[in-house]
Amino acid sequence: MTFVALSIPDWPTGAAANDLLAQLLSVAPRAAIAPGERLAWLDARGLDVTALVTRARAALAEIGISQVFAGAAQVPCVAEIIAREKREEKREKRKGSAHLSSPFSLLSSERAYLASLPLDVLSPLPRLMSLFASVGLVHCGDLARLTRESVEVRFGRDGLALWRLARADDPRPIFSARPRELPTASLDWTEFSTTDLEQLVFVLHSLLKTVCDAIAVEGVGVRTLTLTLSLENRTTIVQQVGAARSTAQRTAWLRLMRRALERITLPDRVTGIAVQVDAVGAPAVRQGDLFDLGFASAQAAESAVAHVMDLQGDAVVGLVRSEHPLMERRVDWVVEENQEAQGLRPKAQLLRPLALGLLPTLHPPLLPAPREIGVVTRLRRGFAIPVRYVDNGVPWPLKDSLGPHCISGDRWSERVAREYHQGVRADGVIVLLYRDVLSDQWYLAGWWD
Amino acid sequence: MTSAAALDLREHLARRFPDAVPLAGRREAGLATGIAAFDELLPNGGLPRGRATVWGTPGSGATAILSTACQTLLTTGMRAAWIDGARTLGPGWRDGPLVIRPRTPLLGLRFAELLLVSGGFALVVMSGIPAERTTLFRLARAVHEGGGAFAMVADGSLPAALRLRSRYLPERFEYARSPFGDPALVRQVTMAIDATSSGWNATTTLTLPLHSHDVRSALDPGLADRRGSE
Repeated sequence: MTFVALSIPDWPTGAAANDLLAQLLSVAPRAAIAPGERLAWLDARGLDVTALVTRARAALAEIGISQVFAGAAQVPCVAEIIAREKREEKREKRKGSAHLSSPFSLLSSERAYLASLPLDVLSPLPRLMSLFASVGLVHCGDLARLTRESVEVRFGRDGLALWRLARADDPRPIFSARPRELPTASLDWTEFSTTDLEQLVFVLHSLLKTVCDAIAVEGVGVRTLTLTLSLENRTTIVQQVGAARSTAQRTAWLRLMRRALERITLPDRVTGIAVQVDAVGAPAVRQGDLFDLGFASAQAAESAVAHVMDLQGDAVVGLVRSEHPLMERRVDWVVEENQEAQGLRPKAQLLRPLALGLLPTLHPPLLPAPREIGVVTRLRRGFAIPVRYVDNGVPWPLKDSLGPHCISGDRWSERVAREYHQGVRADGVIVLLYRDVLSDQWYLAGWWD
Repeated sequence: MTSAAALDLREHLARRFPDAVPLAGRREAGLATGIAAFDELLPNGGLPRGRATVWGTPGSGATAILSTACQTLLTTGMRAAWIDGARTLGPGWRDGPLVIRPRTPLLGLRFAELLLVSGGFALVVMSGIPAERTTLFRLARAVHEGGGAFAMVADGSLPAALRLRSRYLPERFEYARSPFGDPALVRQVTMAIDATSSGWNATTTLTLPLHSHDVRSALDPGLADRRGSE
């Protein structure tokens, strides 16, 4: 970066002071002013420095500033010193308007330039100047030659800062960072208002397309979006929506926005919607590891799952277990929100090579609700043992009937008494039957698979 | 045509139409399920990638074996999904694979197609959803596009690159006995699995433990069952 320092001895006051920055910004993409030091800064990166200074001088002349001394360098402090030197030269020699010193192109040139200058050009503290004089340091080059440790030990923190400047190392942020313009999209209507979710989603679909396309072009993903709903009563509802990972996929954002909309209670009819990107980030790419073969396709998998959830919001589920005595009530499938739980990211405890060679075990899959069946029984030690059952009109003879395993009890008004039987059909399928003792009815609970 | 010419022609066809080569003649490794005896049975040591597998006999150990295959894939960092169309996955289910429970069979087929085409899932299992031949062709195309493996547990004889059928062998069941000496619970089962593909078939037997249903008396889930246990 090339910095241009403009030393202005006759710093303007009043209206001209207000216009100074505007005039500078009319000729350079970035400008800054330091009224206390009577300095103005221009960012000359990629520009012809001489032409830039000429234009700046002309622009400043328009607001009555005629004396401008310019210096250009890659390091701010060097540019500043050049500008000040020119001013001093003029003051001493009483010459005409000062000229611009050639900008340095290499950092070594700037160090060489500083090396021959006395230390007071760096505006050190008086205390330091006497210390420098006592050890024979006169020029910037004398200080720059010392090691960092020796300077820190002898001259402290202020001496170290000066040592860096003497080495043409000026870390000052002259220009403030340019705020990034993040995409936004909005739609307001005056002769129409609605509270219908589908209509709002329809509009959002279009707004999100604008925003996501703009973000996708930059190769990044959206982390958070702000949804603003303008209402007929002249109030607004602002809702920030975040994603688990940065993404520029419209479908994913539409799903999140729809979910956010469903949770909002609208006090009045909506007359406008705005969507603004709050934060962006690199599309989340997980660090792969030795046992992880799936990270490369993470985005495709997440996209597919997002699509699945768009089609059916509660499609992806996770198992929640309980210790309920009734088997069919021990399992509850709940909607999964978490990506790890959704199986998109392998759980850490699963990534174990020792887990290879798992032994399959037969478990009883359970019917969503026990199915009523007809059963032919025989008596064995006082219990009715099924020898055949009829399910949906199909008779299934049982080769073996094991059990019964009885449970009974009550909980509040709920009384339960069941006799469970493990039945082995002739084809080998093992079924779980039970007799509800209270109603004397037989049910098929499931089978081992 | 001489035998050498026939071999040349076969090689030429294999190079020209690699997708038409029967499973048994392929060289790329299958998707290992982690069950040694089962992997040895399958052509190329695992479920075929980019092809559909149909397990034609639901209720005969398919869930146990395919869910174990899912778990094995997860241990290596790959993804697996299970579309539970009949909603019969129970308390024995082990967490890990993506579980999808579609509201309708049609949605289930749509979900399967989406997951298969994405290529993000090494194995997609679909159970409890009746499919027709045309539907299966469509899913076969999706799995070919995505490159993963697809296993469908469905009754009937559907066309697929690999067809599996299993049956229990009740005469080889192992029982736990009651104090009276009667069989009280099935402890271990033996099943026979037949694998069929174009111009190839194989059979194996597997012995699997059986997780018995846990009966409790205390109706309050928070209370311990005080009947004691073995």
